[in-house]
Amino acid sequence: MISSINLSKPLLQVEALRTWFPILRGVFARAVGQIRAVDGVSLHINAGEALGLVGESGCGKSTLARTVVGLEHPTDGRIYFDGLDLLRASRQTMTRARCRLQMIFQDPYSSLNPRLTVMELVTEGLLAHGLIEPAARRDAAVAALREVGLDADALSRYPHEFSGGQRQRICIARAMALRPALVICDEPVSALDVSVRAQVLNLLNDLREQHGLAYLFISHDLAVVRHMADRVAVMYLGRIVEEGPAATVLDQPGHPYTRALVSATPVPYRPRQNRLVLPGDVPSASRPPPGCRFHPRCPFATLACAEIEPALERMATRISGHRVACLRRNELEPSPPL
Amino acid sequence: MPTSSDIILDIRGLSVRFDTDDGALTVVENVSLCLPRGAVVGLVGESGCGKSVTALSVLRLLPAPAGRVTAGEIWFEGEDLLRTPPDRLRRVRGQRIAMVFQEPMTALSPLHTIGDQLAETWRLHRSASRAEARTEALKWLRRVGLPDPEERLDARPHQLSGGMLQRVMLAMAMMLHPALLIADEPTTALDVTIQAQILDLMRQMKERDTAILLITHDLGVIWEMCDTVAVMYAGRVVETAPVNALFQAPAHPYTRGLLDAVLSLGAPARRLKDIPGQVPTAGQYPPGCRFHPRCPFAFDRCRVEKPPLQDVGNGQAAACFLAGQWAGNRSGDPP
Repeated sequence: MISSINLSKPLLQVEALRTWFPILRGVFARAVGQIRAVDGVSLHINAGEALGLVGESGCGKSTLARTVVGLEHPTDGRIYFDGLDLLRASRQTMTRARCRLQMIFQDPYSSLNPRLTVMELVTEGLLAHGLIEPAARRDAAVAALREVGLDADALSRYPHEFSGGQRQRICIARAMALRPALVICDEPVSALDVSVRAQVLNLLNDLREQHGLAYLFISHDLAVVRHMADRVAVMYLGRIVEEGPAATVLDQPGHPYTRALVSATPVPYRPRQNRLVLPGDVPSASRPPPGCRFHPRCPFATLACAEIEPALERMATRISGHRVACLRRNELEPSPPL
Repeated sequence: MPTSSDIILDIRGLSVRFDTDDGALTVVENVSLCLPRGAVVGLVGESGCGKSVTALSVLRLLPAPAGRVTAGEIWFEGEDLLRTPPDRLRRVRGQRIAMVFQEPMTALSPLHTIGDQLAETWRLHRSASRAEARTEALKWLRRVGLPDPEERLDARPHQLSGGMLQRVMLAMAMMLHPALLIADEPTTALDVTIQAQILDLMRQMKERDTAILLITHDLGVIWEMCDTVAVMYAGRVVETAPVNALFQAPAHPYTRGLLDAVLSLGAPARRLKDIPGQVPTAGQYPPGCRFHPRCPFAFDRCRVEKPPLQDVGNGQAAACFLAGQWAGNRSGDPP
């Protein structure tokens, strides 16, 4: 069950990934266009590292996650996990790899089968992968629950008997039972109350420390990502527009979109100054604007921005790991400190 | 009796009961709140604390017959809304009190165009021709920053995103220049850049002297928007305070716990302080102070006796036996 982690290569490597969905019309379901949900994304996560992925609804962050775990089929690109080419691996290899790659979803109400008991839910994966004998089910379930701070008396109960925070613990126990190397967390605390949210975030950090876990942590909430992630990638309309260490990206954002996100996030105790309020809405991913996809809403856009699509590149004054996809990245004034 | 003219809304001792399969449950108990003209008052708390039920009571929109007000008065512009006749109440709602909810889709008719619905609102409360009303509708869609307002006039709600619909709702609320806006989690379903636009519109309403009762679970939004805040827990108000006092010197252990659990954008603390246990649901409220099972400072008295809201000075009050010791002591040790 324990396989060694290859230290020279990243645990997860995504290269030029595209996931497009056809827009179907008419009786013959003819494709009349494509929703470019993920449109050329490359990223990597090292073993034990937490990468935060932020962006607003429709930016493609959930589709990216679902493509990595195999819930969506990519249009193009490569995904390597643990040294395996996930898109070309045999079914058998895939199944084995899936153990080590788990996912936790936003809504703990719809992601648990209501007809299964907690014991069945938590050990379902272990049995399916043949990692335990049916007779060992109870012991395995007790151990998995203990890890997330739930008592054994939960075993014979059903999901509806639990609160949102407890359900999310059950989801975490279910994922952790398979001893994953990478857990993709898609908005894991967005549906939880503030007081319970802190409990779940602490649990996720404890588990990471104990097991050397890596996280792909997806959230629209910058403060949550700042708390959980070592590195942050910012997505806009299917592309990564900024990437780097969490502290530099969120404290000194380089891309105008990241600046706007940081400025617009209401945070207690921060001076109530004038916020950078972006006009308009996120355009449709079926017809992304030419050039820089952010240019129609960008307060700093020039004519060139409407023509040239900027690549993710290093900012002159920043450390090499901080990259920004903006033509004007080196000429904009640094954003004011928070 | 009506209060001084500076007070727009005065909720006094409101209690609300719901009939459920488990019997009658009191979900809001003895809640009092005061909104001065042009003030933004925040009502904050976690799910099930009774904040939305309080708002619905003001509008007399509790789901009948299950929910009913069992005690209290709600004074608005010199009349008790709980005793206002239905046809008069309909004029007050919309014209003097506007409302915005988390789900704008459910508040608009799916059959009629955005323009018709805005124009209808205008014609209902102001005497105007169809053409005038349509011009007015367009003017307000423009004011709230809706992209392509001329085209959107003829769109139906399902053709617009949640953020656009919320702007339509605010246009509808703003056009009649109400004295009071009740906004129940108006930005919870929206992205932060769209949230910023909506909060901006609400600030504009405040500048035009509309008082706003802003219900949210988001302490960041409370900090940005509110003048004063009421914190609810398990159906009761546990603390009321001017916004700076609340954040700098919370006088109730629950408020303190909430603020400790808030995340900042700065360097993260390694461990977040959490509030142990779960939020209790109606019907399972503990005796005495309802927060006592989760409170690190609870003592014998808290388990049996209900702490009244006590004044700790400077407009701040908390329902805690230790409130006096807590006040002005944000970073200090427990009393």
